[in-house]
Amino acid sequence: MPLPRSYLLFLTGGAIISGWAGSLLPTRSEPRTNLPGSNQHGATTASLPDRSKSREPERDFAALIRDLVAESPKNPENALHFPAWEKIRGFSLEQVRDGLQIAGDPLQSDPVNIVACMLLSRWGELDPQAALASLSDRKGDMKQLLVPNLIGTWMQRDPEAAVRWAQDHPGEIEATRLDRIRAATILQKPPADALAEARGLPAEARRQVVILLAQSLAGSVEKRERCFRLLEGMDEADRVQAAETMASAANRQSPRDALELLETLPMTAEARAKAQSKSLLAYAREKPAEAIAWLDAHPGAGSGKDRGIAFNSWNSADPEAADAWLERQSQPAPLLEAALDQAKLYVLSGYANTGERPRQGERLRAYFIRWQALDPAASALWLEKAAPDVVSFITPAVPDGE
Amino acid sequence: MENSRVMLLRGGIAIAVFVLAGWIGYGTAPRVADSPRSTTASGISPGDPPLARSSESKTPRPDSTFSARSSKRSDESPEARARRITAVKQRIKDLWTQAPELSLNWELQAETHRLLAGLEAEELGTFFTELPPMGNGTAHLLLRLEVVKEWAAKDGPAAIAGCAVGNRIDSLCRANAIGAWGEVDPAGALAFLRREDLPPAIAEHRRVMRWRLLDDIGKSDLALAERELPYLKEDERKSMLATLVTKAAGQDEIRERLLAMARESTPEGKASQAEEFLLRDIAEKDPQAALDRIGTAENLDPEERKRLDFTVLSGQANHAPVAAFEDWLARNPGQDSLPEGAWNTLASAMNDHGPEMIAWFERMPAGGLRDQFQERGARSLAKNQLFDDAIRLTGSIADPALRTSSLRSLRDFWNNADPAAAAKWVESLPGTDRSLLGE
Repeated sequence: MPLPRSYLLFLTGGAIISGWAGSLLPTRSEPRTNLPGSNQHGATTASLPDRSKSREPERDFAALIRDLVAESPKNPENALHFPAWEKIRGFSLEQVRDGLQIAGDPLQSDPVNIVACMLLSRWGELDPQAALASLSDRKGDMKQLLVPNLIGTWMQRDPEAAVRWAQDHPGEIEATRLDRIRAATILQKPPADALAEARGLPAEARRQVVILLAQSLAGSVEKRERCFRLLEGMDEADRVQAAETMASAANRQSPRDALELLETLPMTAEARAKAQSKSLLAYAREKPAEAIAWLDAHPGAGSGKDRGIAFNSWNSADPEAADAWLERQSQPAPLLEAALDQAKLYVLSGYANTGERPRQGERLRAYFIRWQALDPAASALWLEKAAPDVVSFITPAVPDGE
Repeated sequence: MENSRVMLLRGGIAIAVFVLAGWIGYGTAPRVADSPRSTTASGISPGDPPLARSSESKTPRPDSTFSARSSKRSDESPEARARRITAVKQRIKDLWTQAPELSLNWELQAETHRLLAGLEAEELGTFFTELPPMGNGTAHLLLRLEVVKEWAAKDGPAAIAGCAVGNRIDSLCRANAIGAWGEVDPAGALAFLRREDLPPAIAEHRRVMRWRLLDDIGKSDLALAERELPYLKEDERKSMLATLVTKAAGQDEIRERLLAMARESTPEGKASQAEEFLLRDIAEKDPQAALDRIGTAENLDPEERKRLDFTVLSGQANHAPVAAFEDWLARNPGQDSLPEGAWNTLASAMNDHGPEMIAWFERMPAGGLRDQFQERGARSLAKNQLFDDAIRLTGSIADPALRTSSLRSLRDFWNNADPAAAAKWVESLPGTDRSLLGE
């Protein structure tokens, strides 16, 4: 089997091939504005990993880039491996420049130009400031991925310069995204050291450290306890943030798990109620009958609105079961009003044609008629204040004289 | 209605997949032949694996505890292998935890694949189940999705079955599994989804998985996707035809066949769903071409032509909503109301291009039509809790009935989101507006 060029490049790259993290030397470099391949490589390129060994003859190089582009899979999200990087990871600035001229625009998004993205990533390793400058004032969905990628790479070598650049160019990366990269970089240290460093950061950056730490320690009782032990001495807001993060993480897995976890987390009543509402909303959308059963078992939990949302969802999925349950309630009127409010918002949302609008309209009318029988005065006032769209669904069903 | 569902499904999956792809950092180029396929557990014989598209061999790190040699070493005891695999898994988890940024992280992706390629299908399955769906941060959540791809490439049926753990992310895992399996063995994956004896836990996701699979295959081998269509039931085939026909650019012969197949089950005078999707697609890039297509079509009744005019509006509005509405008004002169066919387009335009649309409303001549645009526009803004903008739009509606509707919608959305702030706003309104609110 012939040795692929990437293998030779790989070998001659020497000690700098130990995975992504170890591949970049810690040497700092001053920001530069080189175009890739300019002759002024200077300190930047000298201090950076140069995995390239042999310069491709020009014609062969152009063919190589064209081949890499042509071989790009049509469905990159399915691919397990991208051999193009085996070659591009060793490119020099000059090769990056030449390669980009052939490969095209990294900001192209339909389809994504992965080879151009890789070339830009490599440029970012060699000269991050120039690579970032090449995207300045340009738009495109891919930019939201490319800029963080370049800043993340730069952050490994020279965090101060990377942060300074990002702060000087607020239009290029969202502050939260920058803070997250910064936090992830800090958390490469042991948690206690990372938190000590985080104490000196601006509030939002510190918050991101807490969020990432809490996310990584949300998976078991022991880990959660460890997280809160680590946070001792931090602000109360940091502990609440950690609890909220853990609840959110649980919610991504299963709203029910999140509701149970919420009972145990140290957080303010207000934060707990907010998180509970979020989980209940998700639970009601996905498994309304279970959500109602959970609410039944926890009479103190959930606002009237939460209950209205759950009931309206259940009624969409299984009206007979929902109605039978409603019959058993000792105080159905507040529930009907809350469900009515939710169905109303759907009708008002401005969408049409999905079929759901008339269905919500029918439910709206049914809720109203029931509520009207239980509380004529309140329902009349509600109807008086409703938007004309909403009224149009209800009015035909209200018998004359009632 | 079916169209909308398909569009939602298509859009939802596309967004999920796109965001995920970006996060993890995928690259290009064909898969190399370093991952020996284990035999699949399904017993299906998918034919020759198309895995080995390249003769190039990947370059394992020359010396490492974390050797990625995929085949079992003959001189390695089970205990030694178990120890090595444990170390490999820990190494991968550490890499993902330590990565400062996951998007487009080519080194992370390459090293992950190199290490995972050394695991047998069963070992990948074990690793997948060991990675909690939550609790170890986003990095491990995304790693889990990467592991399931490697697993599916080696044993698709097992990986798909393994995705069902009762978690919210199961569907994303399944999408990744069928996608990766389809990449290495599209015929095998299609045959699997055709089976009558799939367990219910898998069969209930058959249609979604097949949509994902055929959507992917359609990009690289449209003819193979086309050959699968006769196996689908009519409603599934209709929506799949609509998806595939938009992937047939430059493949006129196949496109015409797909359109003809779609026409077979379409009532006289109406456009097929596939034709409608194609029109929307064309309108996105070239609205006039879409209009010409409608103009020259022979089999459409006048009502259908009118409906398809909204399809062109919707397609064009995807990227250029203001131009789309201006063009639509220009070709439909004398409009004094906003028809229901345009509501969804307006709502989407307010979601995606709110400031542009608001600026356009301000440039429109005052009158009933502008009031109608503003009333519906304000609803979308209020739904998205952009109350300040909704107040501005509502404030410039002159028609009393539309102003009433707008004020009441705004109050209801705001009240739902933040009752105290809503009450404060109501109090601040002039008496005339308060009376329109019924306060």
